[in-house]
Amino acid sequence: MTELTPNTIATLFANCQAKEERLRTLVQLSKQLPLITPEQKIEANTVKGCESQVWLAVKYDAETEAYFFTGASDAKLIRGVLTILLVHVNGLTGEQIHALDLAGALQQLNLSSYLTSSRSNGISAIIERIKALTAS
Amino acid sequence: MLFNLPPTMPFNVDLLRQHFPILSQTIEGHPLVYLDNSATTQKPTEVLTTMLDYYQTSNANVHRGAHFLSNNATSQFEQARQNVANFIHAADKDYVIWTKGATEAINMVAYGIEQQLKPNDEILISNLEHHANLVPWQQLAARTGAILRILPLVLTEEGNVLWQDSYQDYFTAHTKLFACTHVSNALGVKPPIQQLLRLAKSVNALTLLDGAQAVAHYPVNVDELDCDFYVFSGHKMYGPTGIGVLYGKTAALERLTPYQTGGEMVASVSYDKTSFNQLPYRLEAGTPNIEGAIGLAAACQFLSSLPRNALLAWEQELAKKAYHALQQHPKIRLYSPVDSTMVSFTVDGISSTDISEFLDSRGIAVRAGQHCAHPLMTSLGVHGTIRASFACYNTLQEVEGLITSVFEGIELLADD
Repeated sequence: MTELTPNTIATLFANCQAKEERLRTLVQLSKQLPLITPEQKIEANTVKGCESQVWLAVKYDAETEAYFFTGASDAKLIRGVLTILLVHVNGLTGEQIHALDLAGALQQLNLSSYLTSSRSNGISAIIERIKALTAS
Repeated sequence: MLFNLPPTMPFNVDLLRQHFPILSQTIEGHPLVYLDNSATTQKPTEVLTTMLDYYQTSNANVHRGAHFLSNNATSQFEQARQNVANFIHAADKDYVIWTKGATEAINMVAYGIEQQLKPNDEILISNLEHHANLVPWQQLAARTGAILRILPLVLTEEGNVLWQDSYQDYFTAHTKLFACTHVSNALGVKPPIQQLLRLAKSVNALTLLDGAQAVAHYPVNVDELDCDFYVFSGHKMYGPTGIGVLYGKTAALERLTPYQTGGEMVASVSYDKTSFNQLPYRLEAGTPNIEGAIGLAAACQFLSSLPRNALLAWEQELAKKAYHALQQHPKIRLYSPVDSTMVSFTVDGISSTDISEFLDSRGIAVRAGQHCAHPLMTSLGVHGTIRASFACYNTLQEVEGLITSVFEGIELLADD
């Protein structure tokens, strides 16, 4: 499997015609999610506002000022979306992360159905959480 | 109306579907398969044209008289009340109070009886309730010092309620109100309502039934049920959103303090005091949802013109077919009874939202999640279920499509 970058992900989705193909791609991506440790699967690391259960943890490298996220979800498709988000943010500084338009990135992949507000699966809540955990 | 068939006469589902234009659309190339009917049903053209006609020919404010249109609107509005009363077999049209929906109707009762409750009085609800029939009582208990008690109905493996003698211990001299779902929204379970109402009456508790999931499927006779209050929403029974009903007999409705005050509900007003209008208007503050009431009455008329027993048998057949097919899969667990009008299930190791997303990619609309019944889901030990809920316009082919796609979704989404 090639290393994931925002560009390789964009190529994967550019080849998808129907929603079902996008879901199949998400399933593939879900396998590459940097997973949080079982000990980190605690209440404090849950993301509120998701219909599915989602956890996010972050490590900060003071030397490079870079953030590295790990995540988990009981929903495989959400793990796929998490993989995409973490590919975009991991290794960046807080300032760089805050400058990103993550919702826009998902929209470009034609995954905007994941962003609908209220009663949704709460990807917006995950994006907010990523930004809240990183200092701008 | 095209129909007017005897109650058990077989009906033609293809013909029926022609009355629901929304169903003929495709989603990304897949025919829409709408199986989220417990959330809201689609609306037949009879309901839509009735509402359009009202605005095009009769729109005026009601009960203000004085001109032709207003009189016309008022008589249609009051005729709607009569038609809805007939639909649920209410003995008097004034037993029907218009509300926004079942939730508002329950809140009206919860606020309306507040002054009659004192600390240590008990409000009893079942463990199958939608939040709409739980949170208003919990909040009422918090405001008054009353105690909210939960009747722990025991479900069999087949999803039916098992009668326990211990149920009667929950009905005591302290029980002031018993509220229960007529049909559970999350599981399609029908509690033994007559026995429970009898227990409630034996301790002189007020009784309220949440009929939101019952009215579209089961013939409802409030007179026979003999409950104090019965509530339901229009949009779950082929009617419009934003309209619902609080049914109550005069003696029960008179116990309710109006929770909203203002226009239409007054008899006379001075700066010192206001005297309220008579029922039902006393509980209907502000300009009502006139087109909603008329639309709901049209939905009642539509349903009444159909062979209702045959419709129910059809919906049960669809659910049963889905149930037996799903049951074959080793990873699927079913929570709904086999004779309900829905299937509620989980798949071992796969999130319910994953399955519903996959179904959505094939144009199949179901609901995944906790169905506004968090405590019930917790007690079942699940984070949520997938619910495919059927209406009279669904077909056997749609059930087959559902099953095929659920199985293929499991293939894709199961952990390797």
